[in-house]
Amino acid sequence: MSYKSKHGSTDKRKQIIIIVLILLLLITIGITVWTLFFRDTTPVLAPDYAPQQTEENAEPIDDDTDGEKLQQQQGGGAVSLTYSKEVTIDLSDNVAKLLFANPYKSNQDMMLQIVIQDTVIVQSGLLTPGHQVTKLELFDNAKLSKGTYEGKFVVLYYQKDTGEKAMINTEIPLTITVEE
Amino acid sequence: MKNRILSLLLALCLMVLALPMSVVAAETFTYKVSATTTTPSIGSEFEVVISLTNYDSLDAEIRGLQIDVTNIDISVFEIVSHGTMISDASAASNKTSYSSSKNYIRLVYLQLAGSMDKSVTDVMKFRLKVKGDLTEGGSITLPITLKIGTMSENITLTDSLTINYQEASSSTVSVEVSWGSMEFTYDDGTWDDEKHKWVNNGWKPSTTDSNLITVKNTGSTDVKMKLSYNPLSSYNSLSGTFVDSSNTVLGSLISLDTNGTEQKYWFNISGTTETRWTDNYITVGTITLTITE
Repeated sequence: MSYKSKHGSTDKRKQIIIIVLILLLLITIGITVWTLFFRDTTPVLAPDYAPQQTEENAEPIDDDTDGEKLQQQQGGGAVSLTYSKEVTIDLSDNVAKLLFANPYKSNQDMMLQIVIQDTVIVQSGLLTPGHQVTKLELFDNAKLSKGTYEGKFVVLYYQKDTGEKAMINTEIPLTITVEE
Repeated sequence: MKNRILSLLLALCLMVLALPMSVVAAETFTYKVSATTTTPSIGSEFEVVISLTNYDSLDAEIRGLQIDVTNIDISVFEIVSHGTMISDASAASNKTSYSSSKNYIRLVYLQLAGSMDKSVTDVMKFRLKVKGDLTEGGSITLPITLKIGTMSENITLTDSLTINYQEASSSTVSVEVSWGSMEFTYDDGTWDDEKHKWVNNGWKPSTTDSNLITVKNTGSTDVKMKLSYNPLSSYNSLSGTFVDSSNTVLGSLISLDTNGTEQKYWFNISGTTETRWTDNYITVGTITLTITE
């Protein structure tokens, strides 16, 4: 009797272990599939009000710290923008190398996006007049490979006093070179 | 039987747990090829640096390193300079060379007593100039081969660098844009007894030229532009057009020449909405200025 009950309880324990391992296997398979194939693809929406943070990679434009501002109408805006058509993405450093400037004479702050295939892969902080960027960091979920892509700059303007986004924006088609 | 099932399940679990980690790159040499630009203009120079990116984290020690950058077409490129970036006075060989017959730049590093210092990252650089007498742009791919000799094995890695050289023209664009408040008020107009309808009704800018957009090319590169109106989904019954000073509706791309002349366009909105009276202006859409070549 005692031998039978001991053998029976051992079988039952093995059954429990098997069930637990099956459950563990299913959980790990699920985690693995999610890790490999699914990402958080929350879309990036341009803010309606200016980002609170200025772009950390922004640097002052040489010899452009004062002077006359462009004239603008009440409630409107006036900007000058300077950019290079050459944009290179370095995947090893996860940065985009570019030249984009918001000269001092502008009356608006700017935010710059780089968009490839309707996906925002770069979004700058606030670029105030008199500042430019020569590199910006890619979003972690940017999926690119070595080669050439057709993309665009999207430039958004924000009122300096209210931080409100202007109803006009600028798009600049580009050819973007991606390097590893 | 149950013991076998147990063992099998345990093994499967361990394999599946290990899978994500194995997806991450296994330990091997990684490197980086960096160019100051891969789209140089004709007549301009560019520099390329080849670096080892994970040598300090590997157990393997490098005793020999040969890097070949081939297909350096001398009808397109001039060799400005080349050199090793490895600082090792005790190496038996640590230099770069250029072969005009085989069109390559080669780095040879050899350490007979010991190995390359673990702190080494940048190993080689070279500078090329796109010949100024070229008349049109083109593309050249430079195959790159790294042969690494460690204490226990020889490893060969391959890569390539494609240079798209362009006709010499400025690649920088400068444009000035200004815009009015873009505020509009709907005017019901007046009732025409003869026509039995409202006339002179429609959307009117809140002030003179509050619907004005000006664009000026202040750079040395000719570009084209176009204006488009994008209604918000709640107000897609409204449409927008842009007209010039002669009230002609803008079509497709408009040239912005480098003469610095300010060009003026007025935005007009048409259509009706269900919303009739509001105390404040409501955003109904956005305007996009596209700048292209």
